[in-house]
Amino acid sequence: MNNKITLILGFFATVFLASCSKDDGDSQLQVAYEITVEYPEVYGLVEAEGVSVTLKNLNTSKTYTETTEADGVARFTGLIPGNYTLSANQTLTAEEATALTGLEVTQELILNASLSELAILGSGNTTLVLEGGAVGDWLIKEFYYSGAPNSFYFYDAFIEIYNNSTETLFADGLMIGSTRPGSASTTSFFGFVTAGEQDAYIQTMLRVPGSGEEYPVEPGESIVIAVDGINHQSDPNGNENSPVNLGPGIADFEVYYDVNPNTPDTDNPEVPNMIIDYVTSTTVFDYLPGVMGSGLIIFRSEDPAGMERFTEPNTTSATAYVRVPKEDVIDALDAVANATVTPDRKRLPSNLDSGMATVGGTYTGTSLQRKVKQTINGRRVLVDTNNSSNDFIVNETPAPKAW
Amino acid sequence: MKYFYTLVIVCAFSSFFISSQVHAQVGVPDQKQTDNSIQGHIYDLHTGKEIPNAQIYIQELAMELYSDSQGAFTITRTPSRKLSLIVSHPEYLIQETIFTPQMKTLEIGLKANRLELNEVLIIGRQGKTQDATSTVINRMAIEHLQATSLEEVLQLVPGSLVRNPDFSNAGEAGIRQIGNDKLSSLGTSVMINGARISNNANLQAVNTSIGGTGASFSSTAGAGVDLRSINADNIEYVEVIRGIPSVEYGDLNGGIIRVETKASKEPLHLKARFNPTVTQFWGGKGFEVGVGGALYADLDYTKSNDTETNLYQNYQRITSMLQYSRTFGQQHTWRTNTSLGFTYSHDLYDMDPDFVVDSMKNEAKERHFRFSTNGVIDIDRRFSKTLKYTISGNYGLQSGYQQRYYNADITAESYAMESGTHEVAYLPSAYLSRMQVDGKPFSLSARISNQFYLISGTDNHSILTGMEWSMDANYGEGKTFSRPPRTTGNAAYRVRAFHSIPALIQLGVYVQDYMSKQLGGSTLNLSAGLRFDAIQPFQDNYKLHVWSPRLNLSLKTPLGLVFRAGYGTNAKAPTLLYLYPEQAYFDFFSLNYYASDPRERMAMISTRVYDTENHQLKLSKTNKAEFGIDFQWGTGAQQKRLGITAFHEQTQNGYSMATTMQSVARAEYPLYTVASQPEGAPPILSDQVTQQARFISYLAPGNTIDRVNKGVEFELDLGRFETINTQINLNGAYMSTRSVSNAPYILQQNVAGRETTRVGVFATGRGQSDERLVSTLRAMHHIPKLRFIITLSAQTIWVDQNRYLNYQSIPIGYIPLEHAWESPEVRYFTEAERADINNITDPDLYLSINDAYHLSEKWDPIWLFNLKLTKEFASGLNFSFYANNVINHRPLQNSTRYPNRYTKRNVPFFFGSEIAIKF
Repeated sequence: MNNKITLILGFFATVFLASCSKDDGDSQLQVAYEITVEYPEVYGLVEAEGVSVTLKNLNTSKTYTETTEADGVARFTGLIPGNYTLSANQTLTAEEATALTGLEVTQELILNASLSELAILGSGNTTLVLEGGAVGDWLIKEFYYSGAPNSFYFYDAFIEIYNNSTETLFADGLMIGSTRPGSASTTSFFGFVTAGEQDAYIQTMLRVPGSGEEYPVEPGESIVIAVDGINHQSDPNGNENSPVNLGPGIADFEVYYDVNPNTPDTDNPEVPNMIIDYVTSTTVFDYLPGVMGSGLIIFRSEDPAGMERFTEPNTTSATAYVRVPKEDVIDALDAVANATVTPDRKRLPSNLDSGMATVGGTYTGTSLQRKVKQTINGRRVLVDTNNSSNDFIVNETPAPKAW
Repeated sequence: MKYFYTLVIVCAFSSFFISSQVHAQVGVPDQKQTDNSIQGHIYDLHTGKEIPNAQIYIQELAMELYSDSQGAFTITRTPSRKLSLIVSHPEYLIQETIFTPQMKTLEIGLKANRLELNEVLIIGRQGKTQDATSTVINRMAIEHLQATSLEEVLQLVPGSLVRNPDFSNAGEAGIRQIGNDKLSSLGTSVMINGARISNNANLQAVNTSIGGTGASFSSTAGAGVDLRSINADNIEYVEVIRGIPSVEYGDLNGGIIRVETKASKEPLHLKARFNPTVTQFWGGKGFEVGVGGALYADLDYTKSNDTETNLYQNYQRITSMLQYSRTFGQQHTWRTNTSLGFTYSHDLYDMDPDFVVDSMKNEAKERHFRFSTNGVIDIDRRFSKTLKYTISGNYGLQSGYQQRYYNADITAESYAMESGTHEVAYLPSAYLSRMQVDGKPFSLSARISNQFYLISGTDNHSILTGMEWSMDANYGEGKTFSRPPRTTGNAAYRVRAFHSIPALIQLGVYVQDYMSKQLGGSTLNLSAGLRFDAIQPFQDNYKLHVWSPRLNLSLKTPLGLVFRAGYGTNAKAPTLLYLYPEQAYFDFFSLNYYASDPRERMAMISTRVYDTENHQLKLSKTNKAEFGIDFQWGTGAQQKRLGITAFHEQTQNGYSMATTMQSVARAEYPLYTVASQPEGAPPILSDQVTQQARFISYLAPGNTIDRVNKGVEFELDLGRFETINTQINLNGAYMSTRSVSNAPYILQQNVAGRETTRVGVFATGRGQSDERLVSTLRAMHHIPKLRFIITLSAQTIWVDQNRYLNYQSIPIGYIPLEHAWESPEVRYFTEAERADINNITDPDLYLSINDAYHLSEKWDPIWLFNLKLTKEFASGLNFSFYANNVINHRPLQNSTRYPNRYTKRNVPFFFGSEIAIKF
């Protein structure tokens, strides 16, 4: 009988104690854990010092971050047993990277590693090997579409595509797509976006000519694609208000709109022409992104001619748009007419560009230019957060091949 | 020329036919008729005053007479039999009188159609003088409607919808059709005082090879008369002939709008009309000129803004008409009517000066001078009882103006008028393009008819023969421009003078027997006619002639029940624009070398010119068939009437401008290459010249539209309910319009990334079908003592449906670009080949069609309530007011074709008022 009473009292006391002294109770469940981080095999060092390691508890979402010490170990204490995700990353300066790799690295290098699930049940150690390589890809550097000020001239539009990587890229076969032009109207929805489509639907598909290695672009360099590759300011048939010179040496390519046999467009023999793979309307003067902007994407496709085409849902239109699967999109910029355009009238889905950018009006003579994140040895590294609201600024003087 | 001889033979044959018939008939009881003349007198039942200029129509003899200044008339050689006389005068209600052989004199009292009298007619009513189904709308009805133009008057035709005054677009007529268009307008003959208003010489189009009959400025080229240009205030009455017209009338498809303007002595009448968009002033006065002569003169000024908020888009109209009518003689009367009309209209589409984006301006000015004279002579010979004639002329000054400021791309342009290759200059991207189209249409026409009657036993025959000649020419300067509008990969613009275009000549002859037979107490009337028309009889390149039989049958039974049936063919001549369209000009770059240094540039353009005339053009024909029943009961103001007419009208070979097999061609032009580029000088061309072959296609006149309009019209007039002082009338129609293309749809689709080597040929039968059932219930509350009338109308659209027909994405074949051809051949696909065609591998053939085209539109029923009131004051002052959609009932209705779209189908709330003074 006494034993039973003792047992019951003991049980209550345990419960009471457990509920009163939380810290004491937890401390019994906490564990310490070590993560050893190593550089990739080809690097000069094995133990990676100064790597930020983050553990995230999958149940509580609580994150723990530690930095590795000189022996390459990040020491965590006070972890609750459970399942975690593990990520580690380190940004090396060019000097550090050069020292580590022995190669001529001219830019900062980002290394990272991760594990999607790590079960921590007690103290222990896990080793991670960092991965690294070239950073970056093609980015849209500048998009000038709004037209020249104090005029209604808009054939001086251009698109500039920038090599934001650490390696030379070839522009051959790179594709540019633009969606239905933007509109200032409050009812101008783009049926594909409102229907929740995640891919891009474009009405113009242009391709850089070349068989693969004809148009190399160095890191930090760019290509300029002009609607008309001429000096718009000085050409007597152009417009003196135009802010740009897109003549040979600046424009790398122009769009000669020869879709119709009797095109009215002009062809500058000194500027190579883009290949026009698809347009919804052949009876226009030229390729036009629209003075109110449009969604612009750069992408690659194995089979440009075989891409599927669809009519816009919930409209009366018979226009067929080409679908660009989201996986193929390298970069996207949703340029809209003005700041009053609401996100429901976007031309590109948010998974491609979660924001919108605008020059604010038509015939402003200004362009959208991507922000510079940092400059390493004179090479600009551009911001890319997949949100054009953050990534772009309005450039008062459009600057093809310049800043 | 061959057809001219045919015509002469037909004329000779018809007169022989008539005279032989006459010889056969001689000796039958009409010998005694000579002495058998009747004196008649027509007077106002209310005041007792004689009524001059009343029309007396003798139904059995199909004869018309007019009362003289004393209200008297004489019918000579009266057959001794029962005759029905229909007496009409614009200010009076139509009176039917039976004349029996015992009577020697006739005293006919007419009831005035006035607000202070018990009986008043303010709606359209079935016409009586012809057997053709028609609606007659009198002056009181037009005044109560407060119509600003002829277009609005047509609202009273059964099956029409209420519309707000709108002058922003040319008024297109249409009879028994849902949705009026150029074809229905072209097929509707508008006649003013007996003369057809011809629009055949209208060439106000900007480029037929790419725009068809269209123009950026307001234009009715390729269509009929612009109804908004015809003022409604001087109209005595309008008769809308929906059924089978008499063979007297030619050059039409659907029907006739016959307008008679005022031609009598009347006090000065002034009107002012105001509503949110329209301001209108009108004045008219009738004078007595000589004995039995009257001259009526009027002047109208109308200004309408397209919207309440924009001053720069408007329409202005000034019309004036002088009409002189006189009846000469007492026994052998000669009634003559001569009118001189002037119309000025100005349709402006301009931009607010503070908002000049592209300096866009479209302007159309038209001035028309119209002359017509017609007469009815009572010759009173055995084979020429009555002679009728009409001579009319129309001279117009039409000016269309289009202005655009182009900020287009830099380009080079050629203005070559012949095929060839020329070096041309590159031109600035920005320029102001001004285009002027000046037409001077001139039309003349003359028609003469002879009428007499024969009696054979119990049958009467009234024989009408006649012929018509008309000419339409255009002497205008034509199309000119400063620098042409930009072309975007299609046929280019060139100047064109109109005065070298041949005139359109039409010759017509006709014969008709109107037979009347007594069958017991019933009367059977049969009108059988035949008309022959030759168009361009003196030109060999067009073969256009047509026989048009027309039949109308009616059986009047004594119980007030009438059965009607009719069948007939109408044919409309092509207008000058369809006969002589502009040539198609295609410009291709043979060298496009826009070097950075302006001195090093060079452009060579090859021009290819195509003749677009279609000498296989056929006449657009309409076959009409109808059947109707009328039933009348009750008498006087309580008389009730029910009329039902079922109709079926098929228009074949309707005119259009379309891409036809003849308008697809293979163009070949040289491509030059540059051998070397000297510094600061144009390039030197190499010997290497390649020939490039390309498809071109343009619009050419054709007969591609087949259309069937069918339906049932109904009219129930319940007369006046004395206890509530209200007249009740219900009318409406179920109509179905099915309009399809009878030729393959040919579409050249240039696609990016490949040369166009195939032109798609799509199945015939593309088109659309519409169905509508509409009824309008009118309650007219009338208080004679107060001279006040208020009308409430409820229009209900019970059924409103639309379907697209045979819109196919997959062609049935294609035209290959393989070798030169005389006329292209179609390579047809097998079903298996068709199944393989898709929009990825064959974007040049696959036609992208919105999925919604395969869904039908079906609207829910909708009601519309309108109010109109008229009040007369003793001083001659008259006040009217109306409000369309008086309760502003404009529900948003869901489209079945586009499920996320909502539409306000009812007209917006609209009101207007009118003040009129009679001195």
